Amino acid sequence: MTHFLEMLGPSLVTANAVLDGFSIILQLDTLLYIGLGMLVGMLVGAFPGVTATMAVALAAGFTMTMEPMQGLAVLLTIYVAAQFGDRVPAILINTPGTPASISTTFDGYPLARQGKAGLAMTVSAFGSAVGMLVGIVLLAVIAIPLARFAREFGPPELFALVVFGLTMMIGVSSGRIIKGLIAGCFGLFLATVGRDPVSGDARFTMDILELNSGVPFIPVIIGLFGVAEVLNQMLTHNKNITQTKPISQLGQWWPDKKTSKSLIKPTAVGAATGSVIGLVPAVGGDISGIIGWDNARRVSKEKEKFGKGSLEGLMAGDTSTTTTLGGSVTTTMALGIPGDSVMAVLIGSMMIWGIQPGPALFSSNPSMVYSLVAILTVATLLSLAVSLLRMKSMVKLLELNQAYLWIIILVFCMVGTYSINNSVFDVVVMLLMGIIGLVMLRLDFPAGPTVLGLILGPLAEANLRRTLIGGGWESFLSSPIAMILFIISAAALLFPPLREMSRRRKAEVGEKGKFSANVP
Amino acid sequence: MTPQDTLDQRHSTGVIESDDSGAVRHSASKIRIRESLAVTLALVGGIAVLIGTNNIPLRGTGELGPRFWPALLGWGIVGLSVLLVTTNVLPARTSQDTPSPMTRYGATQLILTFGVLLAYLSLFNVITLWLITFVTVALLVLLYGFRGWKVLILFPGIIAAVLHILFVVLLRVPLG
Amino acid sequence: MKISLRNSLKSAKFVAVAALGALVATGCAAGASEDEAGDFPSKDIRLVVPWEAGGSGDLSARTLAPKLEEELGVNVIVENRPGANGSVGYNWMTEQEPDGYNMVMVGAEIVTLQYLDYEIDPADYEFLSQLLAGPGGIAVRADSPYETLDDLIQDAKERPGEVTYSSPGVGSVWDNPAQGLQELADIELINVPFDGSAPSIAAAAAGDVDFSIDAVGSQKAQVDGGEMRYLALLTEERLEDLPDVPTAKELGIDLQNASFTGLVVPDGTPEDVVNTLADAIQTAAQSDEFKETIEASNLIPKGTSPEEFSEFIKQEDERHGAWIKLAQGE
Repeated sequence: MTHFLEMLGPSLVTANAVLDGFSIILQLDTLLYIGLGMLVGMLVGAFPGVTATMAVALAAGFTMTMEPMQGLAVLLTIYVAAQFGDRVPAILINTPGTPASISTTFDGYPLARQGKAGLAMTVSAFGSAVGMLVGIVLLAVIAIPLARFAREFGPPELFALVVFGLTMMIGVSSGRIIKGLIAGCFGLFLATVGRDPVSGDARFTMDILELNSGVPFIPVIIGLFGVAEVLNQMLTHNKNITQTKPISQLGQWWPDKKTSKSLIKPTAVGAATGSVIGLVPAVGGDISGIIGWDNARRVSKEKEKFGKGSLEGLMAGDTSTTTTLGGSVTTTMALGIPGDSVMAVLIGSMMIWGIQPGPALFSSNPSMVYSLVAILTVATLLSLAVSLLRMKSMVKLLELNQAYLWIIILVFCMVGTYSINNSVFDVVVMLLMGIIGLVMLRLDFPAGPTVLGLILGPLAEANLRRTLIGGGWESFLSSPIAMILFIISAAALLFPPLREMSRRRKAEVGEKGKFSANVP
Repeated sequence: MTPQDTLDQRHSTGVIESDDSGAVRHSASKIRIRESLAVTLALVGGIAVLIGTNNIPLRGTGELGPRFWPALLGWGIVGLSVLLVTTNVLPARTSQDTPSPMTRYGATQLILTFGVLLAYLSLFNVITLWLITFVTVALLVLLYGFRGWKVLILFPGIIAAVLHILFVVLLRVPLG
Repeated sequence: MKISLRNSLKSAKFVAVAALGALVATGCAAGASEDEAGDFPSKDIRLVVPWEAGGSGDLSARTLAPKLEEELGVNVIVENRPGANGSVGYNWMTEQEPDGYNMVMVGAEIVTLQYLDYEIDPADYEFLSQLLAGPGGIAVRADSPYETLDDLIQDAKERPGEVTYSSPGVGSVWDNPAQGLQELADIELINVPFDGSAPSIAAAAAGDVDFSIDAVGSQKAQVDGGEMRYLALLTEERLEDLPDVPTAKELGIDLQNASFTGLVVPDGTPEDVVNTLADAIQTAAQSDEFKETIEASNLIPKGTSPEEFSEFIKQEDERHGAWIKLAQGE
């Protein structure tokens, strides 16, 4: 415990460091850079295929010569704004530009199809902003001791966490459990393609050089969600019937009082989920969004609406995803372990500036935390404001005939996917996954578990095998965190069917058929 | 699997639903056919994974080795597909939100679109981006049945310009 | 399908635009090929980075590029072609004209991949200059029972096959010297491979494994933060920045290893082109700005000649080849 207080020591910094840190945003040029970063981030987020990682990486080439704090302002703001921008294509055209928006498509796109795109975008923007602010508060208040918590996550604990993540497959299957599990196994299989993480042997590479580094992730999600949806629309489209415009209106923009009230619980669930998950290195907003969404579903009164256009689900997922940002910045800065791919780029830049992310950073440079907090807060508020303003112009785009949207989506996704790695192979993967996604859609296999499998697969297998090499099976037993996570996973699997059974029994015992309408 | 193979698969799924009337009929036999197709695809996939797993070289590592995990997944898929027979095929059960039926017109368009897109992709890095984009977009516009100078010149022009400015000029993607 | 006169006029216009575009495009190409007859370089040079944008390798290329532009008088465009441990970029390089207008940055993988079933052969490239080196070190967590390298070796002798180390990947530039260590000290260690240096070093700092063998510069953040201690350096001599850390050689284990990056062009590039490029790279690599940037990342700037670099590659090939075969033979 004294250990813990020692850790707390350096974070209880004098007011001086706080003021010093915050003063960064009082400089006009810093604000200017934040504005610039926001524009780039929003733009980048809104185009499917152009990822925040790519924008930050390219911007890193320019910011190299800037002052460290101003450079960080640009890079972090791009990162923040891209999160907001990215929700737009996820909601409107079912295409998550980055993995962080996967959970947004679950409810965002169904809402848009119901003519509630405006409401969905407002709720999503607020969810993202709330999540971001919670993450920032975490970063400001308990950055250092919490970063130590991340240390506790070795291979056995990570494996246990991933097992918990895998239980989410049932939730994201929206009722089609067996098909969902098959789709999940397919995703886990895709993740095994490439070099074996432990022995280095080639697996399922079919002598394709590019496959040695595995199936590229972003082309898969763009293909499975965005392209598959376009192809399905094309396939079911009829020449003689007048063109339907599924999203011709955005509907109301602001949630009414009752709706707002119902969103408080999912927001809290999302923020709590994101806070914990954000601290685990190598696990980012993509997983957190899905887990937050599923957690909110479990506690919701309207479970059956999840995945079919639930504002609660949208809110929880987006809040959870963005809350990880605070944790991700913390583990990156305080441990020197990149929290996600954007953070990996950021570490590269910081090294060039002569700032070494790692355990010594916050103690040798206490005002740094507060500068980061200041930059992130301004970037969040600015992005929220712009998200709310800018959205009205989206109506114009959606008034276009459906077929024009197909063209725009397909061409942009192709060029965008190419640009990630300058690779034609990636585009081929995207198109192929579009077709596979279409087949899955037609045969009623949900795509969510596949993506979840692809994200979690490498973590699951590699950490299981690392654990076995390092200490054998008993390492799981000797790790309290792992055991707790295993118990939670078991509960997550067993609790819903048990409750369902007891509810049925109650319904039978009570007046016949009174609650039967509730059972989906 | 080549794109063509998968296209054929998709095409075969169409057999059950090429109902041009637009109405979805949930007749038990139709559902059974559709669900058996799902089972077949999953089974084939699972078996393919298992066969592929046996081709992974083994170097006698002490722990689980490179084959354990994929084999687990392969058997998982096979087992679940068998389970699917009892839950979906035999009782002819499917979820309520069946996708709307596909049309022959739509299928033709989809195949033609893929042809255009593959041609587009094969010209990446060969001809400058704005030009191939212009032609591709114009071809797709024609394909979807639009006519007129606005959509054949202006629309492709705007798309080509936006792509060129965003990717080639701003993001410096080597496609110029 | 109804085609009005107006529309066909428009399509005629479209054809004209397309033809004009094609003309411009081919015109550009023709202009470029004519220039090739003149002195090298006469057009933009591509510097391909086989890793993702934003990493330290990418940023060192982006620091070098403007310096090279000053030297060569043409644009040097940095382009990322990542994938499969850099082999996508290396492979792409062998398909390019050996005219000096395409360079690729290489790391130690250029010699190691051939032993890991990749079709990459160092003989397919002309080696221009080594840009930087990242000397290796052995480090343990701060409260580790090992005070010296000897403690570690003794423990490994007492418990063969139980002492673990983390590496950034199988067959990587830091996994291989661990084979050398086992051979030289006659011990048996267990490799726990991670996905890259940062998580691998963090695992050693957290105590998930017994020690880390990696670049000194990458371990430095944990050491400076009081989380880790160096036991030994894998260098010929002690480093200026770390005067108190002994080399493994001093301790009786004659083991050296360093990660590196350098620039290459395809085999068959004319000698004068190779020399022009190599001279420019050497001057650029020795500029203060490049040196400062590299040193800030805890790496050592180099800038060697083509002969030195080729010789270096040969030695690396032999060392790593032997180590990987040793690892695979087990």
